Amino acid sequence: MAGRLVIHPLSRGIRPIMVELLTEAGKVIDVKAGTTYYWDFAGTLRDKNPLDALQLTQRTGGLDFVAHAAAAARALEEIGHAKLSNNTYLSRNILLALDIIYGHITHFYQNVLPDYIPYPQSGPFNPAKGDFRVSAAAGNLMINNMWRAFALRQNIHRMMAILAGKAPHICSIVFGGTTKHLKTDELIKINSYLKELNNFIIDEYSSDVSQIETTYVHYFNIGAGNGNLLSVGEFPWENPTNCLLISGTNFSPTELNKKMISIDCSRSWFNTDGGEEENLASVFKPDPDKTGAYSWIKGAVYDNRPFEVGAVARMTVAGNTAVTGLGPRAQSVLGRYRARLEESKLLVKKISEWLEAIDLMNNTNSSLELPDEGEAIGVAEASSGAVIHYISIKDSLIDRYNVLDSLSWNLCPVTRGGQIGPIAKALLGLKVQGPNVTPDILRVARSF
Amino acid sequence: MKKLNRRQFLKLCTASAAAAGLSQMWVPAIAEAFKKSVAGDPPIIWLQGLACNGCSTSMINTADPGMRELLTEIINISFHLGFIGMAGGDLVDSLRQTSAKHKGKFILVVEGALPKAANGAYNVFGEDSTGRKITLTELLADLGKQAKTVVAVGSCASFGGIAAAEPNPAECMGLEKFIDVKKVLNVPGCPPHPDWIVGTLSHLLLFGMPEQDMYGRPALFFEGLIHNNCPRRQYFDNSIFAKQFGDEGCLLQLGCKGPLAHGDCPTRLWNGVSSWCVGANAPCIGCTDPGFPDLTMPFYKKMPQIQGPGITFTADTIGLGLGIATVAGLTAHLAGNYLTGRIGSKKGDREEDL
Repeated sequence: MAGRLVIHPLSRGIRPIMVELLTEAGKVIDVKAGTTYYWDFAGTLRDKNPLDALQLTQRTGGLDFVAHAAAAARALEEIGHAKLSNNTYLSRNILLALDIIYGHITHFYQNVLPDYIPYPQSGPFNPAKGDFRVSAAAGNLMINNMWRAFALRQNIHRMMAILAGKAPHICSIVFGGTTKHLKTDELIKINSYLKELNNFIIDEYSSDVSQIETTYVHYFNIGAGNGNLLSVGEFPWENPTNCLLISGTNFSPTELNKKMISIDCSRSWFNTDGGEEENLASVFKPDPDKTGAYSWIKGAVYDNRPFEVGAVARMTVAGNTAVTGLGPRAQSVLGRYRARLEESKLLVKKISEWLEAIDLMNNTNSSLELPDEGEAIGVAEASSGAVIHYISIKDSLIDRYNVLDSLSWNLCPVTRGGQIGPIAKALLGLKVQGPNVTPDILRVARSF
Repeated sequence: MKKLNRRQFLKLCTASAAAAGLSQMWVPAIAEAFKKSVAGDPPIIWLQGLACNGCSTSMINTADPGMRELLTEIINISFHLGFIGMAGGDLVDSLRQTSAKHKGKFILVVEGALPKAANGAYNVFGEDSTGRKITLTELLADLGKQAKTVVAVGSCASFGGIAAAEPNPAECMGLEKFIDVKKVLNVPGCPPHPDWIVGTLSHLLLFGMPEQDMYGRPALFFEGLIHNNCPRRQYFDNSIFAKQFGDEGCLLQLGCKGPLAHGDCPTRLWNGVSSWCVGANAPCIGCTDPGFPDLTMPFYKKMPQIQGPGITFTADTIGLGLGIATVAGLTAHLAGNYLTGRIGSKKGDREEDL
């Protein structure tokens, strides 16, 4: 018998989402997944000074804000042919890496782990009765690590504040450079916080992920997305496309063609002006009454297909053996945790190297001179996946702007061609029991 | 330790004292009063409207007390979508039950703006277990009536903020335009400093409503003008201006809105006393101001009509003399606040000798 199972809001995610499942014979046979709140600045950015985008677009997300600042700056720099100093590359790479690690630790300890171990009864956690299999002793150690994770997240933002003024929402990334030149005492402080972070990642975070993997090993076989993985590449050096984590898809090792990124709002509550073609340069107007629409997410597509983004995609495209060694099991609930951990291990080491490479005595200031015409696509990688900014400038002001983030990809609504997004695909086919929300549904939805 | 009175508590919340850590100073003295709160009496319900959730991220950055101490010894945030285990209809039902059970007693914290357009269709909160869809505006109309106090955390919840920036198709607004203004306390900022959030909630639990300025902000944190307390004030007075990003000097020419915005950032500093916007050679973007962001953009351009140094005016009057466009905008904001009844209502006596 067919049934309808709605989880709205689905809590403990990057942001709350809505999941609507159609079930038959104990299985999910159709999925709608999206968000039910409007959050878009494209209209506000119109006719503004292009530099305003550096600040406004960070407010797309209270996590992943560094990636938005970077993508906005990179788009402007592509138009203006700006040449960045080594220190600018280093300082931005450190900030982006810190933001990614912050997101990974937050994802595991705040979003994921309470689905596997009973969290404290008091306070906001309010644990659901659940499928808890870890021993009480091991669980208590993990709860202790959860509290430590909060303290470490605070320290990550302290490092960001030293480099960028404050966090969340940083101030240092500007067109062509950075406002902040690091001093010796500040470098020492960052190194000290970093050492503690490194120890936590290689000890506690690693053993907690391993513990969940061994106790719940079947989740390596649950939660596969649509099989398409995409990374826009990150951590450039010397030029914008020479990246530590290369760009591309799991089908093609060649660099991504940014011009093939587009927007598909066929099932989103957005319309284009006069029904013009939907692409990165389109002007979208909100329409909460649009027939057939079910989400406020502007769908992101590459080559007209939805792609999964995030650590699994980045590590797979970059050929990280700890992740590619998992084979098809990398695209699973546990594979996503593993990829975030492996990336954290890689990046925390890199941050040390980048800090060492900063030339404290050789800083260049950046000017306010902006190009007055042009268009570009700026990209960056955030913890949960690729961020895309499209900007066009006319008469020194923003003409058109569109922002896509990880939810645009992973929560992409059904496309014009009838393809479904990665989160929806991962939920499809899951077993259900009557009208109840199962642990599988929550764990799969929260794994992205 | 002897019991702390309200005046002493306020002193300990000031920026200079907070540098040593809020909790070392006041938690031992008032632990008793917080015990009830941690046991869920009264509960704190934290909801998110149209927001980026940066305010929650900022709250989690609370340094002294840290999150463990905050949640286990000071404040019971009994409902927050970022933490809660329940999902879907159970969650919506449970929220309704909690608010009904603690009617007239609980503190409602809201992060994010309220979209009024299309009967609230721009933010559907969820579905209850009967399958009925509930918009955020419907939910907040009920919870706003039931709550004892409503704390608008962040500039979106306070004044509309970025959510309400023009053209504002969702017709977003701050809480005070929607809920009985006498109940609403504004803690603006994009995001607000964690001390502002934690200090305000603690004051509410221990002593009730704090004294507020004309925009409903706790005076304790917001009465000082950024520009007046800026460590670079000397540069301004001596006409030493940064011309490029990265220069030392007063950041006025690079767009600093410090002469307009209120807050104790220059003395409190951010992220565990690590730095602040101006500390990174970046201009203040005026994020605590009721006019943010419409009236504080362009962020990186000098405000019009700001006079150079040497002219005698109090910095507070600069804020209201910004030039024609801005004055028109500010007047609209002031009118808005008259309409909500914020200005003109007596807010209690001032704390003279802080």
